[in-house]
Amino acid sequence: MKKNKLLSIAIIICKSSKIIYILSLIVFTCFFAHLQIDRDYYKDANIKVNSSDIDVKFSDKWEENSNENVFALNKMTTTAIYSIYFKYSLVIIMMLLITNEFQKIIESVQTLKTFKRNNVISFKKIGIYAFIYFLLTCYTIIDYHEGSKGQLQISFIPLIFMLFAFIMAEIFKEGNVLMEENDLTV
Amino acid sequence: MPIIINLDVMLAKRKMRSKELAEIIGITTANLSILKSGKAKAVRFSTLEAICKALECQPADILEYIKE
Repeated sequence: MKKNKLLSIAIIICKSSKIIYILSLIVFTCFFAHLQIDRDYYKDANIKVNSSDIDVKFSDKWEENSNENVFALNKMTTTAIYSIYFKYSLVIIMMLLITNEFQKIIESVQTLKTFKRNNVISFKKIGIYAFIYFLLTCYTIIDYHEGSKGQLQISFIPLIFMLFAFIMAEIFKEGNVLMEENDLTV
Repeated sequence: MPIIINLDVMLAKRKMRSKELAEIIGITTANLSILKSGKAKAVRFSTLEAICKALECQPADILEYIKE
């Protein structure tokens, strides 16, 4: 199955996504470092925090939208900025790890090692990473000098993804047992 | 497993080597080794038939049930 185009495309997409995640992490870290060095540069910047993404805009007014949480960057405490940095860094890392495991699975399918034990472990890992992703994205806590603002936002997509990954792990576990039995049939 | 494979005994009786038997019955030496070591989970009737034919014996000469 070495020449399966669909699998090859999926591997290319996984590799490209991994590069994008790594670049995003580098850019985010640079932004965070710059914020620590020169905070006055961001005095007009507002930060929009959603459950799974973060957006910084340099303007006094943000487009009015009731679903968005817009916060002035210079009014945040250092702890809040650090917590946002670590939270979204971990989100990117989780997505990177999920993509990495998914790539491993596709590569194993390509080399006809579909029901090997490694894939069961990979699916379990994806499930755990999806759960961590869910935990990281379900809350938003922003500390201000004047007070703090928190929000709990439960997204079911990572939970469904986690469930799907664990189910796939069980299916692949069964497949692994059958494959071993087949291999040990003389 | 309570099923014992007495293939070694039969090979010794027939003065035949494992490699020779593997070639006759058309399986790899690795698979024959799995069978001899008792790691095999199942034996195909076709394999059993080929072994019996090559060693001129009955399935009961190769397979034995021992209570655990």
